[in-house]
Amino acid sequence: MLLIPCPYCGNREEVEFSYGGEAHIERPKEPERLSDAEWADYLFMQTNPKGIFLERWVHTHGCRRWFNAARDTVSYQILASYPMGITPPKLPKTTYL
Amino acid sequence: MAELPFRAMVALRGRSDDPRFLSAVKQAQGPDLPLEAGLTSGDENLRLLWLGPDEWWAVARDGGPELAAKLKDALQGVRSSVVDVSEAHATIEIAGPRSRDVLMKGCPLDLHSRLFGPGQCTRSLIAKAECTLLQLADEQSAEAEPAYQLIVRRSFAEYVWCWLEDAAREYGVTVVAG
Ligand SMILES: [Zn+2]
Repeated sequence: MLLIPCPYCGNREEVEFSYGGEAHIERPKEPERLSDAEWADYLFMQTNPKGIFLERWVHTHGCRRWFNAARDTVSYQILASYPMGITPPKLPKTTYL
Repeated sequence: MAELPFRAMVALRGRSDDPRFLSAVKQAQGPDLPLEAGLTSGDENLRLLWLGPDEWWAVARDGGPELAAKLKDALQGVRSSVVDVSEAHATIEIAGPRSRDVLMKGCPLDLHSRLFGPGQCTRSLIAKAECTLLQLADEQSAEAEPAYQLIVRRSFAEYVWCWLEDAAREYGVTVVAG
């Protein structure tokens, strides 16, 4: 079980949260001009890095707010969490073999 | 352990950085809106619960529609939302020296007094059902004998009640009229 730092409530257990996939994917400004392939890319394609991943979480059984978190996909350590709409904090680069 | 029937609950949303919103709420109901995460203000007659950065509940013994009308009146022209949610919820009070242990059996929160004390509230889970939990701040809720109120959806009330009764059995629970 992860202890997730909600930027509003502080550290809370993972069961109170729901996951929302990759963060900072911008919705196309003119969706009607997109080809099916481009639309599918926006909807379904997310990066799958080894290391730090910026992702969305919602504190469903808590303050019910969405926020972003930086999680290391190798160690599952959550390095930072921050409200929606702000630039992610600078984090040291991790390298893995 | 007791059920507190027919209580008033009004869900209130607005911007905590809007002075007009804060003063209108204050003027309508008395206690200041708690602006810090997980805090309550007021007392048993009218309590305000912080539930999110722009979301609060006003909880009173009764009179949900009147309370909602008073708030709506005061907040006219101010960006906000006021909804009477009294009918949707049931309130269970659990108090005593082992009440914390009972709740901790089914709640993901750390209720140790260092982290959750009198006058604090939060939404969380109890036995996997969503709940709003608050620890009463008055003298009957001392460190050694904390008193809590659990607000759950009406449809979960029977389940949560039975779960609590079962969880508390080993400590010798008594049920009293609310
Ligand atoms: Zn939260």
